[in-house]
Order: sequence, then structure tokens, then C-alpha cells
Amino acid sequence: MLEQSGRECFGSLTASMSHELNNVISIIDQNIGLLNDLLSAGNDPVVIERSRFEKVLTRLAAQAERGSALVKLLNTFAHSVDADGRGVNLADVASLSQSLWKRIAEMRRVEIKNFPAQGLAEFPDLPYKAIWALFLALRTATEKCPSGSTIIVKINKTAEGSVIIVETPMEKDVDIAASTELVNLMNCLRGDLRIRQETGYLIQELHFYRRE
Amino acid sequence: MAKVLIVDDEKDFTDTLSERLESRGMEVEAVDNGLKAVEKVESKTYDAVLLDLTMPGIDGIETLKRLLAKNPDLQVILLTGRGSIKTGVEAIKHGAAEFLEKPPDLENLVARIKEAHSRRVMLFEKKMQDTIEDILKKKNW
Repeated sequence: MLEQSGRECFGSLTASMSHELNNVISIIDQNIGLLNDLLSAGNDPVVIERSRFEKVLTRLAAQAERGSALVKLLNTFAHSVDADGRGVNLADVASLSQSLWKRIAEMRRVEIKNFPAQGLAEFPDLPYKAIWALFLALRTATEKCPSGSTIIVKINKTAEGSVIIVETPMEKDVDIAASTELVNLMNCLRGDLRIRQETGYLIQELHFYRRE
Repeated sequence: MAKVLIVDDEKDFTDTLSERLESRGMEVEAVDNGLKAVEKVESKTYDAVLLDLTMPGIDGIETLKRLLAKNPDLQVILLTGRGSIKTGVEAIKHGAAEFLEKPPDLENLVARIKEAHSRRVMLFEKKMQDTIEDILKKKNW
């Protein structure tokens, strides 16, 4: 069951990014088509209306930049399984997760804001496990909060290690039980999951402990 | 002249596609979400609606259902990323006229729009004919 949850996390995040990349490709494809249209209509390339040409160039440049950022993100995500990534700063994981979640959050009309800790809030295992844990916490958060909400992710150092806190606005009478997958994953990570309701917010705290 | 409504949240995509379809003699409007699309079809007739399946807020399938509830004869062509072909097939079951992968080949898309236009005209003529036959039957002519 835990393995399936891991596959779902990677599947959802990579599907979201590939969708974004496909949008980038679609825009580039249409703009190349538009240039071809302009040329094949018998227009002299030297006298094509300058503003139309500049508009196409602006769109292509914007998409090249967007595509490049997506590829970098995908690459960082792919390397989150590397063995030498142990001891990563949770603030970096939260920042990566925010980018990975951007489109999913937009689809659900919610916003995710990060508040990283000052200094190093170290995660004791491989980075992808932190991404996975945060994925499950954010999935619960986006399912429970109303459309238009802002979900807050805080990273803190603690005396024993580090913690991710996910604060989600929620409506009354929402079930605040933790997802079984997150409970199981936190057990595997020898961490501690604490969930509570506080003045209209669902608070999920994911505590990780330093290992000797 | 075919009247087309594009529903997609990628502005650069809708701007470029609109320009290309307009240069092929079509009248094009674009909106960035499903709710605006439903408002548009309430007040205007379109020969084809090009609908992106994945959008913020109400998604493509829900938009499709609401559009067809307003106008069952509406010709909706779905545009979908490769990963959502299964959803595209599901959308056809919900009454979409066609579905095309993104990025669409423009000449193919133009052909699909022309077919949608012909189907809409045919459905309109059939409805008119049925109405006339009903009137004639009632009058025993």
C-alpha cells in the first residue's frame, strides 16, 4: 500500500509537469505555424509587419524560458532519489514541492505559500521521501480546504530535528483524520505526525528526528 | 463564415490559434474558463467550441456537460494533452463531437471545425423540417 502511495505521488507530480510541458510545446508549435502562415501567404519576410513578428518572438522567448524552468524542476525532482541527497534542507524540499504543485494547486484554485526556517532544517533521509510526505499532507490539505484558500507551509528547526507544518483553512464539520498513507510513511521515516484543528485551520505537523 | 469559441486558460495559445483561424476566414472568440464559456453560449450561437480538458476551476468534462445542457446541439471539439486520452474518450461518451491531441495540427483542426459547422447546419435544418411537419400534421395538410 505504501509503495502504491509512492507511485501515485511520482505519477501525479510528473503528469502535472508533463502537462505543463505539453502546453509550452503547443504554444511554440502554434507560433511556428503562424510564422509559416505569414510567409506562405506570400509575405516578404523583410516587410512582415514588425509588431506581429515581435509578438511571435515574445511568445516564443517566454515559452523557451518557461520550458527551461520546467526541465530544471523535473531534473531536480528526478535527482531527489540520489543517495548523496541525504541531509537535505527541508526549506529546499518545500520550495521544490511548491513548484511541483503549482499546476495542481491552480486546478483546485488554491495557493500554496512557503515560510522557510532560518538556517538548516535538516531532513534525515533521501529528499524524495520528504517530497512524498509533503505531497500527502498537501493532498489532504487541498481536499479539505475551500476553493480560493491559501495553504501555508512552514519549515522549522526543532531541538530534535526538523518539522514541516501545513496550515489549511477548513470549513466546519470536516473530518480531520490523517491519511493512512501519511501515517504509514511517517512511521517508516521514524517521524511523528500530529494533527489538530485550530480556529478554522487544519494543522498537520510532520516531525522528523535527527539520526545518529 | 464559421463562428468558433476557444476555451483555454493558456492565453498565448488562444491568441495564436485565434489569429491563425481568423486568417482562414473564421470568426473567433476566446475565454479562459468554463464558466465564461457557459455564459457565452447562452447569448450567442457558435458553430464549434474548442474546449481544453484541463483548466482551473470547473474542468473540461464539467464544462462540456454544462454547455450541452444549455445547447444539446452544440459541437464541442475537445483538446487534450497526451496523458488524458482516456478522459477524451470519456468526453465523447458525454456528447463531445470530437477530440484532438494538443498541439493540434491546424489543417486537421480546420477540417474538424468545418465538419462541425456542417453538422450544426444539418441539425438546424432537421429541426426546422420537423417543426414544419408537426405544424402541417396538426392542420391535417
